[in-house]
Amino acid sequence: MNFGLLDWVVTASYLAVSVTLGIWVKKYVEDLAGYMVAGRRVKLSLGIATFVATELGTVTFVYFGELGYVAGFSGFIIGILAMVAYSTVGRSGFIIEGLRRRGVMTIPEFYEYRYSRKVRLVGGGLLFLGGVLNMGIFLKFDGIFLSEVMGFGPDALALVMVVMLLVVIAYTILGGMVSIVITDYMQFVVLAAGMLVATVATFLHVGPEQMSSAVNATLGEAGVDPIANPRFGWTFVVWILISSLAAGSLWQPGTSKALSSESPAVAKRMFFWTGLTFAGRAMIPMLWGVAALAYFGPGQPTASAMPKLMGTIVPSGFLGLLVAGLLAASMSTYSAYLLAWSSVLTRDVIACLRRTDFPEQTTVAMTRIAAGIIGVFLLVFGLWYAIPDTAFQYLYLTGTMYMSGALGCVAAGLYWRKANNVGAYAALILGAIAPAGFLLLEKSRDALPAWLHSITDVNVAGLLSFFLSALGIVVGSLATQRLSPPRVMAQESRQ
Amino acid sequence: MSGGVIVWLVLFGVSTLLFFGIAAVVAVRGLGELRDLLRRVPAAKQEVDQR
Repeated sequence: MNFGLLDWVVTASYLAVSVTLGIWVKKYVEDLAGYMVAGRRVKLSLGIATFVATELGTVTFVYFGELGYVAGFSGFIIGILAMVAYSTVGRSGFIIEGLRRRGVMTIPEFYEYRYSRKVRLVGGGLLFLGGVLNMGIFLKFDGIFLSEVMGFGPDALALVMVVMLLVVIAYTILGGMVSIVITDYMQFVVLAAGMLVATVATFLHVGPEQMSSAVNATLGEAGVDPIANPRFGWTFVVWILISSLAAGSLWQPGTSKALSSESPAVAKRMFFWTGLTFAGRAMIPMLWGVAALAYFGPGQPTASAMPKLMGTIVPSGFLGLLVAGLLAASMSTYSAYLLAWSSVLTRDVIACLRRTDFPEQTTVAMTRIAAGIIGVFLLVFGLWYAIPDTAFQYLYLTGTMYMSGALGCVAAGLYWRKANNVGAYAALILGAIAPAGFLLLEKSRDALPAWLHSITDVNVAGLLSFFLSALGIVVGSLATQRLSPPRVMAQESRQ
Repeated sequence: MSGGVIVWLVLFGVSTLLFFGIAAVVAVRGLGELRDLLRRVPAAKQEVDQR
């Protein structure tokens, strides 16, 4: 392993500078009004940096690296699908333009605006559940990466997870939400530099010919053709394309960046240009994973093969830069996610159990407590839960639990006058059934009757979720137009 | 090396160029925007406070 004294110095210095800057910036915009004003003034380049940074944590590298290791080049299709989906959302303004024009800050807020407070409660609850389950594996995967790259090995995983959690929670409390803008920018720059060095080091140690031979020998045609790969196939391709369109427009931590932009036009351009980076965001770590297959051969623990390769081939000094960038990546991702999910819990779930909202100070205090509880949950869940299938598919499935219903509710809410409360409930609940069924039943597949076996296929469960949600909003709304007349939205624009 | 691998490697090359190209532009322009944001935020905050 190459991680030496120089790398420790680079990592510690970068983290110290990053946290200090985060706290220094906080003095400018530490109150809610200041934050809102700052948020509404984010321009294009800074918006792209913060958006990419939020969607690029250590866990992203680990799950894409794992896919490269187990599926070869065929996993590259995910990058193409994500690029097409996000750029299409940016070009067309699908959903994000409508949400930005109405000035909402969270997706469940739109449910109350278009449907009712109770729909907001149900939608907020599902968003929180899907979001926290989704985030549940972040800490474990970050721990795997760091313990392998820094040379501690798998035995130190629990310790690394505890230390990371403490650093992240401390950073979230000290730095606060506003600091994310500046630390995201720094993270984006440092991480991009680290990724460039790691990619060059990969090609210097493992050539394309060697990668091709390893994939061919280990996986055959399935390593190149995503349709021929039993992990993927057409069901997977269609699911991931729809899911990426939904994630592009409705995944709270990412969408909030567009909702904080200077104008709807900037939000669209931000999504378009960010979308163009998404193919590289997926393919670069996947190529490292393919290189790990060529370098070590099959048989390694799938999630730790790529990190182990990085710890072996990236030169000392640059390895510190890569680890610093990744640690900072995780910190800003955790901060954004912890604050997103804890505020959804307090504002869109707990507050919606009452007729009126809590006072601002109570909301802030409850959000902080919720963030701490979620942090402990991440530790316990990460240590205990064995992920079904690949981490990538787990993440998309838990995201789908919320996004399928949200896509139906928000798209119909914006573009279809007949969408009503009953349709919204049906879309949210039916959309969550298939992913929840998969997570609950997947471990007892053999005890299930044959007709339920398809639900234990992660790709079928994911695609079915979007189908059921669409069915729910259309049939539910059309069947109950008299019973529950649709609410007409005001046309005002709150830019 | 098969045709399929060559296609994926070409797509990888294009995607990587786009990623690092956009990263370079964003790094340069973003710094200016960050300075601008830090200059404008206190002024905007003062404006909000006065209301």
